Amino acid sequence: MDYDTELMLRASRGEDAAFRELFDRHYKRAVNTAYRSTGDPDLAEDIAMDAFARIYESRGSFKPAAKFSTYLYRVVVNLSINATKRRRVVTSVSLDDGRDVASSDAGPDERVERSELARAVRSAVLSLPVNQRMALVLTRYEGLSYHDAAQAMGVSVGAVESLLHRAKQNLRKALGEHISLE
Amino acid sequence: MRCSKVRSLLTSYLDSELEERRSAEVREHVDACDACRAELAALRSVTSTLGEWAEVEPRLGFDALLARVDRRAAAKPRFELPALPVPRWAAAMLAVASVAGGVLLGTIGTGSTSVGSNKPPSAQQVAVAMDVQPHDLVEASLAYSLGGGLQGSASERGAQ
Repeated sequence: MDYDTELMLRASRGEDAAFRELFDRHYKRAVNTAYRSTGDPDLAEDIAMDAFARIYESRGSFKPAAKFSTYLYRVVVNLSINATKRRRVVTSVSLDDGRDVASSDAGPDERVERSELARAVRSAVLSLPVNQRMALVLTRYEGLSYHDAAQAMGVSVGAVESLLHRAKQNLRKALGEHISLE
Repeated sequence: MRCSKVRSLLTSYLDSELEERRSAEVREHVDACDACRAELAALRSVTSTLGEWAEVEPRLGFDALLARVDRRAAAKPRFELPALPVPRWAAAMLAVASVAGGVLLGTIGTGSTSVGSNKPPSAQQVAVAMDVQPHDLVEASLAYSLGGGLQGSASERGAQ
């Protein structure tokens, strides 16, 4: 049994300190998964909070059938998809909203250049069809294996492979001028 | 291996998700094929460029979660059935009817989620069973995960 599952089982028996530790271990990842799915940092935080609130409320009936992280991602992914459908997310919001963790040791010119590149990447990712975007976020940004991403999305591993292949093709077209070929 | 096949595998190859034998086949092909090598370089560059989109730092913490849980609990409608006296004979008849109905349904049920199936239900099936819309699977997946059904549940739901 992994440590997260142990914490969740303790939480299911009423130990709030155990749930707090789970929250501290995974909240930032949940926020960033939702952020890269929706492009909106405030909405992302709302989605991550909602996911943890639902899991907290259901903790009494938890059974350790899967990794806690997979379970959390599954809830975050579904909430993000619902939010994306409910609300047309604006993809052109400025990156200078003070919430991105920017590189501090770059000079002014380099910062401008990297900011433009970051904006292009963000726009390209957010323009992907939602399932391609989810597969990309879970594997490229969150580092999940194809197997874990498939479980979180409720699709087969083959479907994840196919989604990623198409996502990369689309990104290549969208980022054309920004890609350096050595 | 043909170029078209190799190109369909390049993303999995870059992510180290191919079996060793398959990975070696791709490597061998790429070493010998200029066009596929260029394709691999382009994909590698795309993957690397994605890292330019930085993550965000959350603003809220655990106290905000507890406050949200309290708000959600307060917002839930309180609904209680009035306690009505039920005669014993009526309760007994209801129990018998429930059991009989369950046996009958179990006998005639032929759907893909039948009790004897070894295959876990897909998220879609769970959604249908829970009478929720297929696109709104949050509650279904939550209940499904809590109920122990997530393991091995990679469903055959169509990819977009």
